[in-house]
Amino acid sequence: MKRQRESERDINDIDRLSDLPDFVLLHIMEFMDIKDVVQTCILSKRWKNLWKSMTNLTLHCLDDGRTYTRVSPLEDTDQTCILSFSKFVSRILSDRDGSLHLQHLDFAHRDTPEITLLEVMEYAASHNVQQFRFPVEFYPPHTFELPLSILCCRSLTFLKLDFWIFSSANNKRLSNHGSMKTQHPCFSRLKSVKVERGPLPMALDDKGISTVKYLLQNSPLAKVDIITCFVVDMLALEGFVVDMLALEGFVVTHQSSHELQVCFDIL
Amino acid sequence: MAKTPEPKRTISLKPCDGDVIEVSPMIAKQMQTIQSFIEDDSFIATTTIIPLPNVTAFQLSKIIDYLNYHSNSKAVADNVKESTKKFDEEFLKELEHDKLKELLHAANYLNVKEVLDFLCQAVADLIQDKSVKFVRKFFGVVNDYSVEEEEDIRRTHAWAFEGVEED
Repeated sequence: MKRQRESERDINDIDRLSDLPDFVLLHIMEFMDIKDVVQTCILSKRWKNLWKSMTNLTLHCLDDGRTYTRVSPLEDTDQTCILSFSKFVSRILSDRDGSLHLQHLDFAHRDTPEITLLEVMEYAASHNVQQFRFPVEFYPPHTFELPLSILCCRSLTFLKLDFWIFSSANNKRLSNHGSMKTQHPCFSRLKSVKVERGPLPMALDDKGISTVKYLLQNSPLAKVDIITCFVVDMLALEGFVVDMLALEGFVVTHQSSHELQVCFDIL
Repeated sequence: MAKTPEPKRTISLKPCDGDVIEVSPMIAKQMQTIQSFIEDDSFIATTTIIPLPNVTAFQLSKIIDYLNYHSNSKAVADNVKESTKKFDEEFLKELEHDKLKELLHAANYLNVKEVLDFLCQAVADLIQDKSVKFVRKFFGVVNDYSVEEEEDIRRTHAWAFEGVEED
């Protein structure tokens, strides 16, 4: 990388150390808080755009652990923090070098404005994300529908969705996706599904089972491991995994890069 | 110093400033750069000494120490976390900043992921919450922005500098 440091050439101990290759510097950034990462642009001209080449992004709001404290309304200060974080995320995505694919995106958040969620998902899908972790929480409960772009994303090999989404009667959109799904099989690269218990004791009903079967038939899944599956208020969802994910609070967690855990999780 | 010609299973590595160091194939395997040497047709385990002109004996032995410890500790389940943490802390404690960065170079050159990850994490921890001045010094970065340019960067990136005090 070209650097301009004409007059400083003779200063000792500079060259070798700042000659750490971009690859290594970017790797260090992957272990840093994203805000600190962006701030490295101030270091020198070499660093100005360096962070924009990151292919593994971890975007976490409220890193003090409150992200996952569930079913509690947020303090006002948290609200402010969340809104500014959403803006921050938008800036990251728009400033990042869009010509580079994303390998790994980890986006943990709660009460994110839906527009930001969609923006992140669309960005991930359009940048061929391979590994995508997306634990998001809402309070008060409401639904969020996964965009087709993510469900049909062919680059995806690893997905962790941790939506605490709540049952909804809104099934209007179900029929809309029926035909699209046959053209774009969901999760086409995922290798296995694991269905696990959610927090409330409910029995897996026939529809839940058939949904899992559908998932099996339509993805190159190597195995299904049904432990317990709790489903509330299953809509007429046979064959419509997409919509069940969106409307039923389907928690998908991973085990390894080719394994997908699916939890039906309703509060 | 070449070892005796008796059949051996170890891989011979020659750092730039010291004697040949023998490592087990299991350790050598974790260094991608060495691994590609080994896979080369001309490589003969018994006689070939792999030259490492970019790695000092100190760096090589540190890396080997780390790999040795971590591959052994995987085998023992009890109290691994605690002792591993201790090992890692001790490992870093012995490294001054410059040594740490040089080791990073070496780990990168040898392409040994486990050590590279570990060192990158260590650097990230080290520069966390530090001033721009500290980070520049750490990386040996010379600020080649003019005062105006730096102000401009701060202004255009104000979204990332909220709540950050200038030096």
